[in-house]
Amino acid sequence: MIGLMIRRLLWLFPSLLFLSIGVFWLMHILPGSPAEAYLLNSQIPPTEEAVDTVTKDLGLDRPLYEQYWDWFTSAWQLDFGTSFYTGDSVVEEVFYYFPPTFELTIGAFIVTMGMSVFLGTLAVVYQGRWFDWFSRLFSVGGSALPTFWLGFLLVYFVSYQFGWLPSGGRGDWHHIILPVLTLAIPYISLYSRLFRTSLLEVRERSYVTYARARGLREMFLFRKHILRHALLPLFTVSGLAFGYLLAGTVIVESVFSWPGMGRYMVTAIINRDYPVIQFYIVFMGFIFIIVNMLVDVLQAWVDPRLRRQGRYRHD
Amino acid sequence: MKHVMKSAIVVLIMISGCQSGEGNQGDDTLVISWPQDIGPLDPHGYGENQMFAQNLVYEGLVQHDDEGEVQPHLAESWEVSDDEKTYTFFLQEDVRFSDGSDFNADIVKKNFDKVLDESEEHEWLELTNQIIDTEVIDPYIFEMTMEEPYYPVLEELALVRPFRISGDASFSEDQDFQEPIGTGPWALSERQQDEEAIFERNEHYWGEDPEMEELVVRVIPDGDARVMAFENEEIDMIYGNGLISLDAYDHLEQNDKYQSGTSPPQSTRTLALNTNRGATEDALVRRAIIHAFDTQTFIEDMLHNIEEQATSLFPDDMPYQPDTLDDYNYNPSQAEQLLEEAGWKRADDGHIREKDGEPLQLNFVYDANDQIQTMLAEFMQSDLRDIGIDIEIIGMENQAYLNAEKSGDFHIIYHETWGAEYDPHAMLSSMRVPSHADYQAQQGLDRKKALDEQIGEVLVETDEQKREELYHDIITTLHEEAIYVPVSMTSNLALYHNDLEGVRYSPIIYEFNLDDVRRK
Repeated sequence: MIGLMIRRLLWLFPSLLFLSIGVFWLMHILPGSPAEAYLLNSQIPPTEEAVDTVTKDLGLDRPLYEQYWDWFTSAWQLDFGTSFYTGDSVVEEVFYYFPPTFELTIGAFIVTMGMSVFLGTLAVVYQGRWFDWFSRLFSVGGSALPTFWLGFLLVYFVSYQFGWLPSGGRGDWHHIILPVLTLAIPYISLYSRLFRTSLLEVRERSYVTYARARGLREMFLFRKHILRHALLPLFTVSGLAFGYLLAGTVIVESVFSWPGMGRYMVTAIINRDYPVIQFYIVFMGFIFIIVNMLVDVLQAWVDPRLRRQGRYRHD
Repeated sequence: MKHVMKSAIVVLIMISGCQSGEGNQGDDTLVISWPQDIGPLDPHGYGENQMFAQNLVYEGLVQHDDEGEVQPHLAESWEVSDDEKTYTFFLQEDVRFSDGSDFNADIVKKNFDKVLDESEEHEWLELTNQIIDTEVIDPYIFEMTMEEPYYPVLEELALVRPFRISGDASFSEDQDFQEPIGTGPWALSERQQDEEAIFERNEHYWGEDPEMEELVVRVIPDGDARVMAFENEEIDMIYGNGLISLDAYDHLEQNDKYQSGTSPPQSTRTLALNTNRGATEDALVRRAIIHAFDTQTFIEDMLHNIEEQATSLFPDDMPYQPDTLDDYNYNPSQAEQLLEEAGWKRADDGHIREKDGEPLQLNFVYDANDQIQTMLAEFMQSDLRDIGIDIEIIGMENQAYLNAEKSGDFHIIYHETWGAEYDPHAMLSSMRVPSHADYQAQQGLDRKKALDEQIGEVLVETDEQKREELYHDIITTLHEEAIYVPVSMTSNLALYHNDLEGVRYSPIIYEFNLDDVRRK
């Protein structure tokens, strides 16, 4: 297990290195210049001299490899430069915007997983009855709705019509409910069906039948033998789900005026704020890799077979 | 199953019980919204510093009034030397900054010098290149000297940036900006980055106090989210240009729970026709395009009549605008006649006109993210098809669109004038610079070189009458050469709940007049 973790950690560095080179290259082949975006934002006419001055100020007149090397050597010392737009440290800014996004992600993750297990179980318990049909409808609807529309629907009914919750902004716990729901609903609809299928499959396995023949109570059977096995596929996707949720906050943050990283990133892309984009992608890559590593470890912990084989083989 | 439903209902009731009307934070608080954070409010800074917010906190020696005319402000009066190179400003003596410190000639000089020290950042504004000396003559007399007589001095001093005055406490030891202290009616009291900013009435304000005690600016990036927040009474007012779609504005305007209003026109939406490329090289074709575009219907159907129709590049009430310009009225048959005259004939079978076997095809370049530009492109495509011109509409990402402006790679391109505070002098001045769509569009004119020379002359012309003549000449040339299709005039739009009154408007886009807003 420790070996698995160390191997994964060693892979972290080359992965991030390639990621950073890729992003750097992509950013620079995009049309448009940070200098012009800056001038435009400042309501300064982008004359040639003005663009030249700003380009030089930002160090963008140098060869690309030199720029990358500069970035790399300071990044190595955890200095990721300053934003072209605000002139503040990129790391500080990202850490300012990260907590609200993380809040949303964690909230949505917990709700997604909890509700998926809950609804999936109910759908099995009431298999073929109206709740099962309802959950099927919910899963189709939930995954088909575009996020921003779902968000506005929730705002329209919950905030505007009934006045129960605020329509946006970040404040006390009232504010987080709608964005978390908006973020979670599409995933709940997906994963609750996944979990239902998995439960049904596990229920039919021979060891469950034997256990039932031994006279074990249904509740005990469910907790000890069925649930744990049925959770495995959910674990596998949970790492990805976390990543998707984290990246998926972009639209939700915009709809609910949530001051998070997604919005910060979109602004950075529009402004061609290279240092911010670069750090954000590398940082997200880092989180993605770490979370997936944790998921692997967790899986190995739940499923002893994996620990021995060192790789994932379901069933 | 039953208890699940029951507990869900209980949770919802609990939530609704806890939720006390978020909306109006108090009778003396005005809540507005803005798409971005207001920034650190450096009076001389650009980028993230939002101009409307800088304008709330900082004041200049002179400022625009509600009509857009430059008036004395922190300077009571001034004298101009005979050679028109030296301006002596007599400052108001009873002005204090929001931290209680004195306003005087020393602090004015300090602010000016800071701007001039960083002249590279501000060189876009000709005045910063012209000032060669600043001097404190007396505690309340400030003098500045310029290299050449430059007539738009006061216009440029009135701009929101960079020449507004901040207090001593705004400067760090290294003369960098550290905190926002100004003489304006509002003082920043709290800023939560990307969430909200709270301004309080400046208790030392020398003029009339704002009616409201507090002004809250919520950050709401999305237009539809802003509409929701407004309808949900979480914000009192929507004020600005382009903050919500015109459809949403039209919808809310018809609701009798809300009041609405528009500012005087600010800048002109126009389409620049390239005199240096393909069929638009011919003035007859350009004139035909203007006559074929049904501006009035476009404004009625697409803009819900919210914007005023434009008849030439600049609005009629702009200084130096000649009143002798003939309108290009909507007249498709005249347009067809002009095309015939230019040699573009309808082919026997086809709908699109041809000349020497070439079809009459033009492209229209615009920023695809802008809803109005997109509508405009589609509308024009259909109007011009009627007279036999095939338009290829090319919606681009913002940066690519700017590149097209610079390279001149277009037949028709969406374009806007700079706005009341820059027109005509700064906008015309930029027409001489190759990286501007105007320069590119005008490049095919025989008179382009002479035109540029005239623009150079007018900026340093000291004789008022000669200046006026030159301006008339330049603007008339641009009009008669049919380089611009005038469309409409943008304005600041306001929407507010019925309990508010006293909303005022300025023709200057980032000067919001919120001081008189109060609850009935």
